[in-house]
Amino acid sequence: MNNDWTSWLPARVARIALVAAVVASIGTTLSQGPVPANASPPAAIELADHALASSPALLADESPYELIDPVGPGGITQKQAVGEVTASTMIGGLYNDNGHFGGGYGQFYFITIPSLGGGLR
Amino acid sequence: MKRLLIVALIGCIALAYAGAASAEGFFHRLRVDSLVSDGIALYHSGDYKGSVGKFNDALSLSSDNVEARYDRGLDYYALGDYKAAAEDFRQCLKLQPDFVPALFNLGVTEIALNELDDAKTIFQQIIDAHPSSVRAHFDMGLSAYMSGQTDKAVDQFAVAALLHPQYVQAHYDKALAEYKTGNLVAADTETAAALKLNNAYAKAYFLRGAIRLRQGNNTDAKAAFETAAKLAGDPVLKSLCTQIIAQIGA
Repeated sequence: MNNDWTSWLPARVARIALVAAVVASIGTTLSQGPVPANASPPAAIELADHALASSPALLADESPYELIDPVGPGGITQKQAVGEVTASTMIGGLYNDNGHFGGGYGQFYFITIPSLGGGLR
Repeated sequence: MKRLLIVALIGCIALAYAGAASAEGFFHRLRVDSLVSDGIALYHSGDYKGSVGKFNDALSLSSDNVEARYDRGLDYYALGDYKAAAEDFRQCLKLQPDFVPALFNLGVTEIALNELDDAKTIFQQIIDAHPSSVRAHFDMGLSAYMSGQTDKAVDQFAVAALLHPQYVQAHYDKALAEYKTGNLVAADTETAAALKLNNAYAKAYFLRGAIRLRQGNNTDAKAAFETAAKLAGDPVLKSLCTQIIAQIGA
């Protein structure tokens, strides 16, 4: 005999009820209000963890140099583009193990200018 | 004598023809280069659609022009047409298999397409050939992180940060991956490294807040979230900080 009490419910109704219960549970947890300091409020941790895992505002940062620069007349040479990929250090907008190629966008990209830092907010 | 004159005449005609063909080739090349140059200028000015038009014109004159195709791939990526971008980068690699920038960009595009296994294969290929490529290690870390392989992500971000200690994002991403693995001490150290390089990095303050919460230090957690809220340019991040601060309480 099947002891699952939901077995007599249509599957869809059961799912809706389950979702409603979870939402209500989260709502209750979040509405409990402030908790004493140093009590590691679970709602705060859950919120932070959830945000770190799923909020586009907090996902892993991408490199400010997502793609290798344009190549050709008016751009960089193919050799420089290869250098951007293979270099072990990065300076300015271009990459080179033996110093930058020049004409880059400045070391500051990687330091403290949030508006230029490729998602550093 | 007459025969000699005829031979000379034929020679002159052949030379003139070859010269004309060469000149035509020269002007053809000049036209293609000019279109590519215009396309790159438009790309840099942010007019990606206009830039695509220039590269299309260049490719209509010279369909095997790797540079025009590669540059058009950058435009498609910027326009969010990742499938078209990937196709252009793949075509570049067919035309010029050793053109590693196209391979790298294809890897980045595979991340955008959420084809993370393909992305990892590409970055591994680059790492195998160029073990000290900081960008390949970083993007391998990103691919691993996004596919839930946090331990592998930690390793790759660590290499990127080791190769280029000023790489703020590598420190932040490593901190995030360490946090996911539960290594709060390492996460805290990397967050500090990111903040040392950029003291206005709101996301890093948010992460520090989360670490402090897990450590049971609500006072410092609250301070970190308050700083994150103050620095955040993103309203969603600001709102998240406000909600968490409210939950922490006084």
